[in-house]
Amino acid sequence: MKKSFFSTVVLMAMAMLIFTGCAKLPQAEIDSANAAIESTRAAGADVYVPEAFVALTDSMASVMESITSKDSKMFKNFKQETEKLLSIVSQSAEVKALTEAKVAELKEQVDQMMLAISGNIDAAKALIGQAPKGKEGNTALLAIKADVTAIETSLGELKTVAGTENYFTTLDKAKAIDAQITSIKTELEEVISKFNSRNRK
Amino acid sequence: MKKYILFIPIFLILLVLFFIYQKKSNENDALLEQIAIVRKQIVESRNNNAHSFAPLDYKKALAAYDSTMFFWNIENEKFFIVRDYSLCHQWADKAVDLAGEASLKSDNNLGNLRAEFQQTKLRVENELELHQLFYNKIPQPESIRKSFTKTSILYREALLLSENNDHQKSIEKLNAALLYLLKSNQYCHDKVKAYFADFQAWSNLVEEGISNSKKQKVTCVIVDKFGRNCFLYKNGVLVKSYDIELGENWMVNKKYQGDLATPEGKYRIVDKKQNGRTKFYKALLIDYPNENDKERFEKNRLNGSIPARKKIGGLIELHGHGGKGADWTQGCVALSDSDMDDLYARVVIGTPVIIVGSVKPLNFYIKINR
Repeated sequence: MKKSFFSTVVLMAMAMLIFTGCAKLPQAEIDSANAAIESTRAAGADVYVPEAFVALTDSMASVMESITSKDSKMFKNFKQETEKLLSIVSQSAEVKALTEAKVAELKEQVDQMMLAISGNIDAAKALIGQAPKGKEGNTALLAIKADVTAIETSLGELKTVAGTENYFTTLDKAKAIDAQITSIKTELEEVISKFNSRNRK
Repeated sequence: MKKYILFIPIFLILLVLFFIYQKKSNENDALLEQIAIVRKQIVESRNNNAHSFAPLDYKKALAAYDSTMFFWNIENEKFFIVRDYSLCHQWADKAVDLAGEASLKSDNNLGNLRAEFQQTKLRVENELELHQLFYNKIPQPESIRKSFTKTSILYREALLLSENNDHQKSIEKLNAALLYLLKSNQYCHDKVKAYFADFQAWSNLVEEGISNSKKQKVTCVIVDKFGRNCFLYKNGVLVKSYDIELGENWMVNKKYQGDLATPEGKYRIVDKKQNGRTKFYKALLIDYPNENDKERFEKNRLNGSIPARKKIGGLIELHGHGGKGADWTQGCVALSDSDMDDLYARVVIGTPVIIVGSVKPLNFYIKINR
């Protein structure tokens, strides 16, 4: 009787070890969470939405710490961690969508800016066309013509790099070119207005 | 009874094992807390832009964190009795220190970059100012003008990058701008220096003109091409100065008709035109070409420095319709119509007009020692 009592206790202890101590690592969930994070990085999340991306990687690191800690225990239960990993996968999808939206927004801004630059270049050329036709007017405008040509070259360079480097850099370049052509256009308008006004007294 | 005695050592062993397990488990929990602190410190250093401004130190901190995790996993794979987390604690301590150092270095490097950015920006702005105030009026080939436009774009881009805290790229852009700018300013500087080689001759002409105005008690007009000024002297005393505009090729002494250059030398007013006799509001015709000009023209034609078919030209005037903010004449000197009214009233036919490259030496204009 006593013997069977001890046997029962030992068997129960073994059963507990089997059912709790040998809980497996949620490896599939870990892999899919890592893959999801890598996918957001590939989409450019670390560049375009760095705060959200850092929060995501921080959550992943925190879960991995918790898993490592629990893995050392005799009675393991990764339920919480598994849930967190699944949540990271869905968060990754959100961050990826956020990244894509940001990229699309920046791309749109770059495209708009390039259109504006092209428009300003055309406007500057038209202004040069309207300038006084005599030698006097042309002389003063020759230098400005060279400036407009230089801007056209810069716009060509911008179109070449657009999409190959990050859109923040491209947008800054576009803004700088736009500011330059705008100032040239203003300079042209001033010169032409001075040449056209004859009643100075 | 004997049977029960056998269970006592087993129980004691199990009890000891339980306490060891409990101890290791507590150590493990402590390590978990420490690692969480490490991670927070690393995130903090990243928020402090250490990944950008102290990337090497930041990477070292990350590597130390990874090492902590690596050794933690290794220890956990061992049987709990032999687990030793001291190496993990060492790496965790190291990671915290490295993350803190990365933050500090980031602050330091950011400060240095900001200072370097300000210094480079100031240098570019000085060169830009020099160009806009001084060299902008100098006739430049298209390539130099294009370089200057490129400079302006790079400068604007650098400012935008700096606003986004990308000081490293911003400095790169400023340095690129500086290269273009130095190239175009050097071209202008060399050109100006060569032009001022005649300064002594100009200075003599001006002194002679003022001295004669004083001795003969007459009015004298002095045109300073480089300074874009027309000075009116009466009895040797400066009474008025006017802003002027010239032709595109103003930076040479006139050689032939159509070269868009303004002659340099000693002239006199030979005609005063108004009321429809000039299309430039009012005009004072001078006696270009004088004997010196004719002699120089012949010499240049003989030595082939001007094409044989070229004529010496004439009809050089001080006239109105100026104030356009550009050099636009065919070689004449343009004043605003209101200034022309004033000058016209103060001079007579025969008034000497001295046209020189500059009344002031080059050092007066260029303070920057190259």
